[in-house]
Amino acid sequence: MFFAITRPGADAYLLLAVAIFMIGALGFLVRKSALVMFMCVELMLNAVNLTLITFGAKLNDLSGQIFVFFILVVAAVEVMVGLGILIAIFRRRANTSVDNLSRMRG
Amino acid sequence: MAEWILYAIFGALALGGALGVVFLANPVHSALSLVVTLVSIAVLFLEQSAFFLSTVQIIVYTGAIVVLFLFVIMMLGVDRGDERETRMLSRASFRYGFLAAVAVLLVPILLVTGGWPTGAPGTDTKAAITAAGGNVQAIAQSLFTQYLLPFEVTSILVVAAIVGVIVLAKRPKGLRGAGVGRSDAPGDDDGGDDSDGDRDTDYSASSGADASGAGNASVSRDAAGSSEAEPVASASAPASSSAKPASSASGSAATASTDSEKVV
Repeated sequence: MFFAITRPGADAYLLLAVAIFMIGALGFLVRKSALVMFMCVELMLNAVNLTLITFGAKLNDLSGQIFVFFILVVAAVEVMVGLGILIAIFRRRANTSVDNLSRMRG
Repeated sequence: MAEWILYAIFGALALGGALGVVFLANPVHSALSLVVTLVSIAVLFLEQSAFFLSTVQIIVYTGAIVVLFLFVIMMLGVDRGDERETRMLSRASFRYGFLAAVAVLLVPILLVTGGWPTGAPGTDTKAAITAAGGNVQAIAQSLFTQYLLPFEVTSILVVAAIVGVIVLAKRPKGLRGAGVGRSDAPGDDDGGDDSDGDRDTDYSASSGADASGAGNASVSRDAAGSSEAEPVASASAPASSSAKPASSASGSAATASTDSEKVV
């Protein structure tokens, strides 16, 4: 059923996207460096992008690609703001481990 | 068959890169593994005839976002010693998290036989896209007619983010000297002498000489790396204040004025 067709169908790409999303989510939960947590968020965003492209190709709809375009813009903006916050945190604490960010009020 | 080979190669590369992001200790290695994953996903986009987005993925992600990550890593000097000892959670919680991930991964595997991409197929078939002039032309046609308002709203988002990042990345002392009232400016609403002195030494060091500031930061980070969350603030303050004992909390007004003059 899986290898009967000559090219990978939507199932194969969606499974890969789920795997990448789960790896990203696992990394976001497990890692303690805020920088690497941002990278894991990027992994999850990319998995969702792959899902949108796959569904768009499966259903003959360009809206999936338009959505991916907007997600790319929002991801770039998110990384920009997130790294700015990280730099501001690093000025105060000299460490980006999220263990030291439990005291946010100040 | 060639599509399956491409899918296998780049799917495996994407998975390997994703695992590298999570499990490599050095943040620089994590960022480079992220590049492997992003390029592989761009190839998978290409395989599904999303040509424009494949190019944009490489330009924006690996050309801008990962470079930004590497820039921040180099600027902050986050090295392996940052989280060598407390990198992962406990082994039991890691095991449960892994089991939960595998369980969620199993759900679509069980659903594969159902033919689950549902919904009415759209009108953007390959023939229609070719008739429109290609992938880029079709996306442009859709983006500037049907999705014009979200496109313009995106520009507002980008401008707001740029302004926010500039405000965040400025020196807070300079902002306070310029008369901009900020509630999160340091030293405004906390009366802690130690933390205030710590920040003063940091700013004076970073504005005076970058090399001493980097050494100062690494000293306090090494002091903080082996202890828990609560003693970190108290442990980093004596380290940095002993590194630069000249400027104390009593001289904060003088350093604030010089900083504001430098920035403004």
